[in-house]
Amino acid sequence: MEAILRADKLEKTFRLSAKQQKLQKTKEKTKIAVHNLSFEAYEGEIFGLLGPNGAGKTTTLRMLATLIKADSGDAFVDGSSIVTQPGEVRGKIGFLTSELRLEDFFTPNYLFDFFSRLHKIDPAVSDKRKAELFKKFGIDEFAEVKVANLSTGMKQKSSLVISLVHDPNIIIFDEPTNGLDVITARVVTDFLVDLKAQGKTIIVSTHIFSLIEKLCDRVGVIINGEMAVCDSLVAVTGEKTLEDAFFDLYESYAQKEGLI
Amino acid sequence: MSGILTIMKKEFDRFFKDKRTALSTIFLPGIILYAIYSFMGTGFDNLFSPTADIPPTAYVVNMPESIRQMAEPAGFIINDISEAVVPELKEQLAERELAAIIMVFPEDFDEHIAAFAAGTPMYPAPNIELYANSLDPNSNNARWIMTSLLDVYRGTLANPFDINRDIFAEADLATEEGVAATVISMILPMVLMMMLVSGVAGLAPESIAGEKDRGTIATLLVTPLKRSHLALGKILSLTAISFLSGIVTTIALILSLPNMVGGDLEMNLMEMYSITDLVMIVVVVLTAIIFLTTAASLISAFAKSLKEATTYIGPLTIIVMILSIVPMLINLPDVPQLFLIPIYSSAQSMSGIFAMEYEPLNILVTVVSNLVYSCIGGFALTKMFNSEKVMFAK
Ligand SMILES: Nc1ncnc2c1ncn2[C@@H]1O[C@H](COP(=O)(O)OP(=O)(O)OP(=O)(O)O)[C@@H](O)[C@H]1O
Ligand SMILES: [Mg+2]
Repeated sequence: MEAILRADKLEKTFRLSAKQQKLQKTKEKTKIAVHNLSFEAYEGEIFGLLGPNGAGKTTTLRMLATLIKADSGDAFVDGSSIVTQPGEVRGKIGFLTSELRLEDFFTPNYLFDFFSRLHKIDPAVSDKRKAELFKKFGIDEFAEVKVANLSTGMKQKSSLVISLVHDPNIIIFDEPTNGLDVITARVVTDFLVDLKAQGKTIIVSTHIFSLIEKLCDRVGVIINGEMAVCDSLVAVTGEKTLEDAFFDLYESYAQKEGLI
Repeated sequence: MSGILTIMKKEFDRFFKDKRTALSTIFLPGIILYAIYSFMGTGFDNLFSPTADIPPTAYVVNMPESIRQMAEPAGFIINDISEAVVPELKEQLAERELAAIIMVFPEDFDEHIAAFAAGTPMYPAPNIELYANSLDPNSNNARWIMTSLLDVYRGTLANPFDINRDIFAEADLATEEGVAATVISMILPMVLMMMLVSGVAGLAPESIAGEKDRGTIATLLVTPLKRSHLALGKILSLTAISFLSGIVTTIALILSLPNMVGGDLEMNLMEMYSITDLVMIVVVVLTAIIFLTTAASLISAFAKSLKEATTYIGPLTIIVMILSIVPMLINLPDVPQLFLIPIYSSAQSMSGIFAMEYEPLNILVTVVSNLVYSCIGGFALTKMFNSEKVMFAK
């Protein structure tokens, strides 16, 4: 199998403002969010980034999506470097996190067309894609309702659909089911499986074990900004459940760092 | 290119589909201006023009026959008084209870004139005391007519030559166009700049800091849209909207002009100003708006939140107002270097073009410097859209 996405020794350190220092109860002026992080995702698989709160999952994905710059290291998305070719990377991925919002004032229909134009999609192609995706997610009924008046779930579904206007081959989802009810969450996970069947590569981050177990072919476990293990799901869990395997990893990490 | 247009179209849709905001941003300043100026004009009118049905009146002591014969045909009502009541009348004049003037002639005025005419003037020359109250339009008007009459009279005595002997009444050639041009050139640049900056100050924070605040700009930043196109799209769309509002404001100002100068001012701007003048005005105004928009956009991008942006925009508005008032208050030299100062240069250029007195080089310096500053600003804005510290600062 061929690696379509390759992260190579990514580093990210944040400078903490006085306010952040107080909030995080630390005297350190900086926070190493991601350290020496490397992994590969293969074409046509679902790759899961698993880690507790604050592990650095979102930071990693934001670097891959070129929203923030890596301090050092690089990543290659279908051959394009996030450091030297961020524009190309943006055209190749679909990125979705809760920090990306849609403008309240517009309707899903308008925004789909707007983002299609930004991606320079042919209008005929875009219209066909819009009809399909809106129908699949039940947005068609709400296509002309302003985003401000949509329910949380419908907003999230609209965001998801709009992140895919350009039919990208690589899809990066941060916490895909956060804040969704079980029914909507099911629609989303089913859709991810569907995308995989179409040959797309998907990278998801989550702290939910069951989601990884249900969806992922391979998994990378991030603890405190570092990749603790990265392998196929079977290789990581062995005979145990993913949860037990994770706690074993977590304990050995804590011992190594002298935390317990 | 298509990225810029897509962003501009979205900004226009955002702006114009919200009818209430759109109408109030574009038309409200003009309407308010028209109302204020028409009102102010009526007020000025009452304040400064004499009441038509009260003829100019003078209370005089020892007025010689020669002057009386000039004043009465000019419509003056002459009341002879004794010197003893002068102090009392002066008090009434000061209190504006008397809408007239008071004149005290020396007793030997006629003897002096006769000696002067005979070529043997007596020194010192005779002195006429003339009291008026400039706050009272009727008194002021009477004073003005009387001093003109006395000037003419003095001229006939010395008479090395005559000025306007038979055409005294028609001699002021100041045309209504000229008066209008002066008023426009003094008031319009300042008011227009203030209206424009307040318009821009209302638009830019919402369009940039607002999007940052709500997280919608991040959605744009993960698309292949170039940062420079995003910056240009924002600046150009804001410029276009402000320009529309600027045009409406200008029209309102010109419409309110006749009310403001308080006469039946009939004028045709297309006759007053050449096409070149109007084109120059448009270019100066446009580049000034581009400059203002860029400055406001930079401030909005720098601010961490919408609230912070509106706070920072306040000082910008004040600086713009001060710089645009300067041309009205002080006469700075017309050197090109001064036209490197943004805002001042635009206000001064507009003022010059409207007054029909300007240095083409200075207009050029204004336009080019506005564009150069805006390019630098646009470049900086692109850098800011690229900087995670600026875009995701919390
Ligand atoms: N802009 C920032 N400034 C300072 N610190 C930051 C910033 N962004 C993230 N961090 C810190 O970096 C660490 C990693 O954060 P990150 O959001 O990547 O974690 P995560 O794995 O996504 O966690 P969660 O499951 O809670 O979403 C955290 O300690 C966080 O506080
Ligand atoms: Mg996260």
